[in-house]
Amino acid sequence: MPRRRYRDVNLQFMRTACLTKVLVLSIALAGLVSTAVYADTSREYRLKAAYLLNFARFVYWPTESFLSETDTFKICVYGESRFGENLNHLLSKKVQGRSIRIIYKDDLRNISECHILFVSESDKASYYKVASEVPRNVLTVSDVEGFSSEGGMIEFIRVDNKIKFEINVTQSIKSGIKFRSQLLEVAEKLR
Amino acid sequence: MPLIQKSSIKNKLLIVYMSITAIVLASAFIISVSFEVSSSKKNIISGLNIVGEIVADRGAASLAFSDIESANINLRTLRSHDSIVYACIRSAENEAFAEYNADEDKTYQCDEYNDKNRTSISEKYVDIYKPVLLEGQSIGMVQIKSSLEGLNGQIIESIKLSLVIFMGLMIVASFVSGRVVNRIIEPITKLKEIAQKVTDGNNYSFRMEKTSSDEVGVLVESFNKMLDQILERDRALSEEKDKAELSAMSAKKYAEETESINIDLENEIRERTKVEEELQELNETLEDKVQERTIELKELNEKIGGIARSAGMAEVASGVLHNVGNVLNSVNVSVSVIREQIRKTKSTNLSRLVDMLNSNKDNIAIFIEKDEKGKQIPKFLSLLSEQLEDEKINLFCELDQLSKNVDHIKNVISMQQSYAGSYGVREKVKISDLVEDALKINLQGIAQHGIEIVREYENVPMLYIDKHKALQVVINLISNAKYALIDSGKERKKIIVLIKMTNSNISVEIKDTGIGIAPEDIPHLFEYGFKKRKGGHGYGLHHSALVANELGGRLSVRSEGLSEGASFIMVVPIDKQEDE
Repeated sequence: MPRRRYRDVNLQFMRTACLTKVLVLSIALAGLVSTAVYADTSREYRLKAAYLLNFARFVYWPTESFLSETDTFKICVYGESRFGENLNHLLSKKVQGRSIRIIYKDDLRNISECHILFVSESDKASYYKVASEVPRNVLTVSDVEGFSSEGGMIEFIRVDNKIKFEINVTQSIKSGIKFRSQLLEVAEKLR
Repeated sequence: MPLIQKSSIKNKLLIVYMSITAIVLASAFIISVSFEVSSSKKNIISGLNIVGEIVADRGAASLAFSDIESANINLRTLRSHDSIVYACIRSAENEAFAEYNADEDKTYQCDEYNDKNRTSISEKYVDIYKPVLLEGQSIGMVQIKSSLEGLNGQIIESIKLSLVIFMGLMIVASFVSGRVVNRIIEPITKLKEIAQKVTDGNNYSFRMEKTSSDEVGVLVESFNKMLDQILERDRALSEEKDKAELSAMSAKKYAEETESINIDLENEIRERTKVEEELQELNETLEDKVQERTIELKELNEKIGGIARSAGMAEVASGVLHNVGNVLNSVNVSVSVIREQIRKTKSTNLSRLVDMLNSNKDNIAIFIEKDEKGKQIPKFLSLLSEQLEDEKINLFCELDQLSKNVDHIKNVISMQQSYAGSYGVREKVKISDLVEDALKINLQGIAQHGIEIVREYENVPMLYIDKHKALQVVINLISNAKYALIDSGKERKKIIVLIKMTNSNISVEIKDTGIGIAPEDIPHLFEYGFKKRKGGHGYGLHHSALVANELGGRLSVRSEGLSEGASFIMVVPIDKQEDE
């Protein structure tokens, strides 16, 4: 359904001259931005870091996901991190009133403590393993291509030089993750 | 105002009704329209708020993930709201993120970012601003602009509809109030018509039927009553008019009569003047005539004195005759008895015997011895002798009676003479003695008829009185009582003589139980010539009354009626005595 609406929206965009101009401008701007993004992976990962926070905010976290009322919200990064310092910006933010903690993981042990598990692109070999081994109530996100189709939940993709994401709703439901509808509306693709 | 005053009550009422209806309806419409306007605005605003909330909620993800397309799609859903002309989403960094414009010919400004939930209303538009919240933090703002043109149009429509309804209701109201006013005004109109008829035709016989008991009913009643009163007054007026005409006519008649009387009076005055003139003449000769008349009168006076004396003597004679007459009645009776006795005497039988003896005088012895008749003679003679002896005794008795009566007459006359000598002289008299004398004079009749005399004398003082006159009265009264008793035929005859002292008077009452006096006769009893008794001369009581007056007293009578007896009372004053 979101796909069809997306197409309708596109059609309407095409119809209106004004918005066409905007689109042209946007494309031009996007071109400039994407050039910069590609030029600077740091920027890309800053955006992805912000997205991670937003994902956290658009998921209904059950109380059993936390050990206590004061338990932190844990974002884990598995594999080689390309976020650099960008994730540290999240430390000042809060999810459901809880402070955020960034945990870097080299293996998949103790990953059940994570709320979001980001699987880095560098460790392409292990994402299948992740997909099969990740316990319930852990949201898995990756920018590895084909992640969502292979058992991952959210996969960053690039559309028109913009960072978008796909969501594997079936997998998410299986893992006990419930997204807010708004998130599904802005997702590029739903599986 | 003058126009209203000139118009009829019906129109006035209609104007009032319609004005009130119009005011009420207009107020109702104004209130309802303004209420509608305000509630429409509220509805629009609350609707916009809801829409704004939804858009802001849905826009949160778009803003979070910088998904402009999604945000635009989100805004475009507002197309279904005709009134929403413009919407935009601005990020917390005050960047215009997405925009929606219903009419592309118009451009609107997306307002500066503000994290406050607010509403702004201008003449044509309502703007609502909603913060886009994520985790309780504002990450942007949604602005939705709604045109009020629809609302204004709606209001105009509503006003138009209201006006149509208003007109319709006014027509209905005018129709209804027309009927109502007619119903109210009908009796007044009728009253007016009848009043007009009454005044036009001067006919007060019209009446209006009372149909209600409200003020109009009271008015109708009063009106009818007023007409009744007018009719009544009319009738009274016409009667008065007739009377006035009649009196005018009679006045005219009187005037005419008066005129004729005046003429008569004038004639009479003329005649009187003439008579006065004659009188004047006569007056002149009057003195001479007076002198002549005085002489004549002197002579006449002397003559009258003689006549009076004669009259007094006649009166005395009459009194004496009356008294003697009373006794003579007894004498007459005795004489009649004697005459009857003599007429019936047996002496005629003796003469027949003498004849019989004369015819047999030759052989008288044989006749007496042998003849049947002769044999009876000695027996007859014996019987005759007895009868004659009886007759003789009877005649002696009667003669004795007669002689007594004659003696009585003698006594009366001598008594009369003793009184006669004192006629006109007042003497000291004991009234009981005088009464006894009177009784003595009447003794014959009283005794003869077995009349009982009852005397009830009080001890009274001596009187100075003309005893002759007083005796006359008492004798007359006793005599009358006697006759009354005789005429009554009653077995028990009684005369009660009472002498009493009352105040300064002495009264002598002669009371009988005789025939009594009829009430209608009492007033005439003392009139001259009034007689009730056969043989009476109608003089006695009249004379007695006169005499009683002369004595300074009076004579009165009492009777309960016929056969109830009567009482004659002579009252004489005793104060005369003291004067002496």
